[in-house]
Parts: sequence; structure tokens; C-alpha cells
Amino acid sequence: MFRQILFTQFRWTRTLLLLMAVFTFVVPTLSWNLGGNVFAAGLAPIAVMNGFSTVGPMLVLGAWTLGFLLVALPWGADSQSRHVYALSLPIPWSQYVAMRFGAGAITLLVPTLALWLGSWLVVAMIDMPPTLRAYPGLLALRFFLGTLLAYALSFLLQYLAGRRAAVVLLVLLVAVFGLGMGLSLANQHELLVRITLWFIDWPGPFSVFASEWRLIDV
Amino acid sequence: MSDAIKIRNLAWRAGRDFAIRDLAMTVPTGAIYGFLGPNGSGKTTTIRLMLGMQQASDGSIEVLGHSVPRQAHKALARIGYVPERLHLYQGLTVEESVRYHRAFFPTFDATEAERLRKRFGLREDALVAKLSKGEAGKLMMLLALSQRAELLVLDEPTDGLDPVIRREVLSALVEYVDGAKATVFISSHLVHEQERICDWIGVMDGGRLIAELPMQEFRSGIKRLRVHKAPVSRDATPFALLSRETPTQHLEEWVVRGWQPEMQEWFARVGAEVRDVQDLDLEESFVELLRGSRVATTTETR
Repeated sequence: MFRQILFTQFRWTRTLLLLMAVFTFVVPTLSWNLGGNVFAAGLAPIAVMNGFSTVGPMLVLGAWTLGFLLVALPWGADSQSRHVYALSLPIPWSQYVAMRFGAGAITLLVPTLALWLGSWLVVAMIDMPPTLRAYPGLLALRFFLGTLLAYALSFLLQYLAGRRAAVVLLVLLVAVFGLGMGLSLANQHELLVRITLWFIDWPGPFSVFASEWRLIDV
Repeated sequence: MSDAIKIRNLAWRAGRDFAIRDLAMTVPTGAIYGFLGPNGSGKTTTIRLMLGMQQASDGSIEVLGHSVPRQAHKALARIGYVPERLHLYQGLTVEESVRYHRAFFPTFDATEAERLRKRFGLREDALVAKLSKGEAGKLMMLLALSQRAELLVLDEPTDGLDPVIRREVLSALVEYVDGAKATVFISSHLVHEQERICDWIGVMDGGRLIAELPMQEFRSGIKRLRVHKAPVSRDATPFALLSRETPTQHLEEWVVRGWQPEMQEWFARVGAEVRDVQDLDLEESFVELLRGSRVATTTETR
């Protein structure tokens, strides 16, 4: 049963997964190019470090886009028939939704592995000084967790709000923006900072996206 | 014998325009139950409620002994369902669709699916999105029949199909029912199609079940009478008067339900005479039944 759900998930999202895998595989190399003149600098770790200040946010953006589309595409396939097929299967709706979620989460491994492989290749070509260390596995894990978080939020929103998901998302964004504006206007800057930090500081729900995403660090 | 489907006091509402009110329905096990009704009468909604896809606001539904919607998934494991529109995933091929469907239904017979695929002339590698309406209908029927289900729920399964494909699909259905002794609940507005295969009839109109009876009774119980010197009052007739018209000055045409020959005596008592009794075919009976029901509803609401 789950194998078939996984199969359909892969079938609907394979182009997206392939594009994202190419993107995440290329990103570490790109960082090296963006971080300095590759021909002049040779295989310098500093070029990769500099480059990641540019490609790091690209990875974050990629994680959100991937997370969102991995929900939207299967939802679209199911909603073509107003979910009649899914509802006519002899399993509880909650089980179907759980399997859909699990299948999507598994496919996240494809771009994650591509990122790990791309990072590992770049690191393998760098002559690393003893003061620096490369973290290809941790970068890939961070990407996976970030994508998983984006995917889970999109999934929750889509499956709870259904066809009204876009409206609910807009209302949420307006509410967050309104809260921020309200606190600013009321000179409650400290409270605003505390709330923001609660979200982005460890172990806040969005802490995986906070601070720079680096392949090489001390 | 137990009932395959038992619905009592069912209520459901969609906005201000449409509601299902106090619906009671019984489908005996082993019956081929034709669910007739004009477009928009509530047939599809009733089916969705019956399968637990929508929630009723009141009433009870029992399908194959399972309470719906609470145990809908248990009932669905024993039901082959063909919805009115294609519900399969468009991006899969015929073979992938069969494989996907098979994974969910433990009683699915892959050999039978392959036999039906060949019989229906469906290519394994054809994309569902590229199938014609007839081919899509055949694929949905293939999946439902291959489940070896105890109950088949078919919502307008032949609507929009050409006569050749319709015949093919219906003969596969009849063969299956003969072999498996399954119950069939088939919704349609194609009256003649129902006449050929059904042994029970339920008629739905405006969210109400206006008749439920064995086909034989339905076929023989509705008559057109030519009445000479018809009484003005319509009270206390021993039959249900569905409609009355006056084509000539002294002769009225009455369409009645529940007619028996001995009821001629009633006309004699009120000083009238039945000149002719005509059998109506199923389509005429259906139309007259709807007309009668609508007249009654209009009178009630005044």
C-alpha cells in the first residue's frame, strides 16, 4: 500500500525532484565560483566559505520552495477528482494522509543526498588547513530538516484548510505582519524581539533556518 | 435475508437550495437496485453519503453490516465503486492504475483484471489522461469488478458512452453478478438501461425517495386509464392518482399507481366508467411518477 503511495508521489514530483537534485548538487560548486576567482585562487577553502554567504540563502529558499511544491503537486492530483479516489479507498482518511506525508518526506532524501554528494566532492578537492573543518553531512542534514519543516507546514496547511489553503496562508501572513507592526507602533520592541528570537533561536521551530548555512567552518 | 444497504431518516443540506430530507432506503442483499432520478435529484449525494465521503446531518446508514461513516473503510473494502466522473490518477498508465488499486483491496483478482483489460481492449501502457471517455469508463468498471466485491455501487456508469461500449460494460457487469451473486446499486437516469437489468427500483426527486419497489411491481402497477364521466373529487381513490388530464369533454386520462382490475368497481360506484386501461413503459411510468410527486409536493407546500 505504502509502496504504491510512494510510487505515485515520486511519479508526480519526479521532475521537481530531479531539478532540485541538480540544484543542490551544483550549489557547493557554485559557492566556490562565487566566493572568488576560482582559477586564481585554486582550490581554496576560503572561496567556498565566502561563496556560501551567497548560496546559503539560495538553499534556504530552495528548501521552502521544495517543501511547498512537494505538497501542492500530489494535492493537485488528488483534488482533480475532489479526492473521490482517496476517499473511496478502504483505509481511514487519517491513514491515507499519514502515508502521503511519509511518502513526501522520503522523497526529500533525493535532493538531500545530491547536496551531500556535491558538498563531499567539493570538500574532496580542497586542501583543507588544520584550523578548518568541512561539514558536508551536517549541511545535508540541515537542508533535510529545513525542507522537512517547510514541507510539514505546507502539508498541515493544505490538508487542514483544503481548497482554502491560499486564503488561510494570506490571513496568517497578514496576522504576523499586523502583530509585528502593532508591537512596533506600540513601542514594544523588546517583546517583538523576544517573540522573534523564540521562533528562530534554538530550540525554536525555525532555528534550522537561522544563522548562515556553511559547508566549511572552524 | 439481510439488507446490503439500510438507510433511515437521512438528512443532509447544501446551502439553501438543496437538501436530502428523511431519506429511507433498503437494498436487499443480492438485488440489482436501480436508483433512478433526474439530474440534480440527489442521487450522487446519496451515494457519497452511503460511502462515507460526506457526512449526513442526521439519520443512520448501514452498508454490508457496517455503520457509515464510522466504519466506512471496512465497508469500502467490500465495495466496488464507479463514480460518475473519472476519479483515477491521470498521470498513471492503465497498468499502474491497476497495480495501485490492487494494493488497497485484498480481494483484488489480478488474473480477472488482466482478462477484462484484454476484453475491453485497453492498452497497458496507455496513460489514463489520454483515454477516451469510453475507455476511462471501462477502466473504472474493470477495477471495480476485479475487486470481487460483494456490493457494486455504480454512479451513472454508462453515462455518455456509445451504445457499443455501454453494452460491453453492462454485459461484463451482468456476467459478474451472475457469477459472484453480488448486490448492485446502480444509479442512472437512463430508464431503459435500468429496465433491462434491475429487479428493484428506487426513484429520487428533489432530495426525496418518492418510490421504492420491485421492478415487476413498478412495471405493472402504473397505468393510464381513460375514464368516462370522471368524478370531480379525487378523494378516497383505492389507488394513487398521479395525474389527470381532460383531452376531450367527457373523457379524462388518469395515470394511477397501484392499479388492480377489481378497482373498476370503485368507478362504477361513483358513476364513472373505465373505457380503457393502458400499460405504460418504464420511462413513461417514471415520468408520470415524477409528475405526480411534484404536483403533490406543490399542493403540500401551498
